[in-house]
Amino acid sequence: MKNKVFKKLAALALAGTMVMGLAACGNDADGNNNSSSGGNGSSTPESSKTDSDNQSDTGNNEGEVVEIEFWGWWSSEARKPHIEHMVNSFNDSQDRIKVTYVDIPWDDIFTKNIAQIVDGNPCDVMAGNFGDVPYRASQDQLTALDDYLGDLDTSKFFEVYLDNCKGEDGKTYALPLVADTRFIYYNKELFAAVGVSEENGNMPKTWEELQNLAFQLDKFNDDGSIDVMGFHPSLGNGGNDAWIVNANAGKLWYDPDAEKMIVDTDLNKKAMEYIMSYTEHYTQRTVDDYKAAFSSGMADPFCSGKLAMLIQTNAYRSAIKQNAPDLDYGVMLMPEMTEGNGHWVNGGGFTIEIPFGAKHPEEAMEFIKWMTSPEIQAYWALNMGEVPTINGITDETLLDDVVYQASMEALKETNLGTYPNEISGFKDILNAELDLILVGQKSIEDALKDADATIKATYNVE
Amino acid sequence: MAYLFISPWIVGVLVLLLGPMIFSFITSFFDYNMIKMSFCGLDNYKRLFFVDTLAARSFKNTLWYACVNIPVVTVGGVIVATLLNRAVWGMRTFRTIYYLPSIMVGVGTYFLWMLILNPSNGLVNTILGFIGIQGPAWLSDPNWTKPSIIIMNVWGLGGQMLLYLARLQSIPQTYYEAASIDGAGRLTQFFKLTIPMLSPIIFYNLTIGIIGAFQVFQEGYVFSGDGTGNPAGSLLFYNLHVWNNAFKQYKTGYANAMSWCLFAFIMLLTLINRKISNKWVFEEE
Repeated sequence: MKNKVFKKLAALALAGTMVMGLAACGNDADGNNNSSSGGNGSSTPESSKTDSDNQSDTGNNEGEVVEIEFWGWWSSEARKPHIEHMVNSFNDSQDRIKVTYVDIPWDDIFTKNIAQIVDGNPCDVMAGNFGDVPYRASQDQLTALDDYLGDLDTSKFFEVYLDNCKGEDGKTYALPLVADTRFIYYNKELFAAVGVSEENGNMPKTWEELQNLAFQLDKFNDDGSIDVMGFHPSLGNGGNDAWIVNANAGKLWYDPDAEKMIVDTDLNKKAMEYIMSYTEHYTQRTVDDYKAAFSSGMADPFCSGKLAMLIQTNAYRSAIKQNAPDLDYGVMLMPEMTEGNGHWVNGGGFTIEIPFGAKHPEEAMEFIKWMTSPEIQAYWALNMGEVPTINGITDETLLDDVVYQASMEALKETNLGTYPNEISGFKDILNAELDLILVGQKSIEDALKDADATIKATYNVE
Repeated sequence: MAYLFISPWIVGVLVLLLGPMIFSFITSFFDYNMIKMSFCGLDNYKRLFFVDTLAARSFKNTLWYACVNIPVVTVGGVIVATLLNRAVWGMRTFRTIYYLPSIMVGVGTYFLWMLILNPSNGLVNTILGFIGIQGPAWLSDPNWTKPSIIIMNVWGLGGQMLLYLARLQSIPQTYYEAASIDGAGRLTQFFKLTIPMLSPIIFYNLTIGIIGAFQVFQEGYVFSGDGTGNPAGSLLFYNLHVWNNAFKQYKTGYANAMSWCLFAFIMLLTLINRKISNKWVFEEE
């Protein structure tokens, strides 16, 4: 008898748990109970994305300070104080909105945001990643900003960055915050030793010239091991993409005009052959040693003068400033595969966005306007390394900065690596095949062919 | 009254374990991204078995890892425990030294091993260099990434060793004396007496080891740097692929389907292990 009662109670508790779980899942992002969610039907809260209902009824009374949270991942001593400085300057600039900066690790911030959205209590404004905006918008994680833009002149943003903040439905789901592009840092002292400098007008302009110079810069020890490496395309953080996008004059694995994958192509084969020609010259072992030196966080070979050239983002200058403040370095645009092909590189950067269901979108937009103002953009660039995404910078220190100037030039030919949502995740397949090329365990032809076939089969695309 | 006392645990199991499990099973039939869900029938399972090539690769990696790691760590644990069961000077210190790594768990240990396995100036390759061997690029060469993790696990087998040691010390010395009188040598005693006496612990460690090996995640996540399982997808373990789908691609329904398939597979292995244990596990009367 007792057992029967217990079983009934247990069954009741279990049913209750399931109902609670499903109900929690069915909550829309405003935290309102959505009775139509769950079950067979889609519970996409699409209709309310820009609905004014999203706006909280709190904090709108005259004289009341609205407190909002800004989530980002900058937590280091080198960066967090600058973020807090920008936030505090906003707080000081007016008395209606108070922003608090909350740093959350990069690996957790997006999942934590989802959890908060489901809970109906997301932060009001957060930083995001450029390439992810359309996909995350399609996953109902972002508020469409179009209704809140107000008097913000969006034409001040570089067009390519603003375009990448749009979802596939054409709505704007984020605004550009700061940008990253890439170029080649070079050691001026090592260059001078072989008589190469901008003044001499003999800087490398094509891939071939770059390779000739790299091998000219090599220095070997008596036992034949490398002492100073000229250059290797895989070192730094350009990856294969920097060379593929350069070879394809701005297209990166996907042709948006033809709406098809461009993986198994002659241009890509040539780019990979070019990368591997350096490995053949230096040996796989030497390249592995250099990569390990970078990834282990030990002495950075470029900063310690053991590498003459390195492809890196504009933000890398902060690392140089910290690790080798006396290093005499310069920057040059990525050489063209062949003359006239363009200095294309892969880039990225960060956006600023309002999570779906945020309680104070209008106040959040005020803060976004502040963060994308010329003064704050200049402050960010000078102190954190990333470059502005807007026109109209007037800060003279920044305008005179050599890395900033190179960044502005490089941004004109930078691909942000945004792809259609339907092929989201294809790079996991691709990169595994490319790695096999780089470690010499698969031929370039076979790897590109296999990657192409697998991606097309997995995503059912052309 | 008894149910009242155990009610906190019953509620805990229902709310924190059984509830989420049932929910994850239900959502494995949904196109679910943690915010919205729509029913998709068996699509997630079809995708797992017929479309997702990375899932096949991740399973292959995990199977390879489990098949090598479990025997190596089990045999290693028995050997070390047997060696540490001898009455020699300083044995307590040796036992402590061997046990210490098993309590030094976490990401910090992985970073320590990244330094130890550094191809150019890591401790392992430096020692190999003294005897004229050029060590491999442990964590950059796809052929050596999984063996690197297994080496790390051997270093941390102190937990298993302790269980074996406790069991070894409970074997009556009279058994060995009797075996010796019957003419059994050291090796015969080891295989005919020590191993059977240890078999219940070996069975326990094997069961836990199988479950643990198929759930390997952290090593792949940390050593690949970006969580993608690189180089060349060699560290893309099954659970890492589950994680990537759930939290990078937001395909939570699909990740749940993957998890349930892994659960079924581990359950099957455990049942088989349990079934054949009658043949080799020695149960004392």
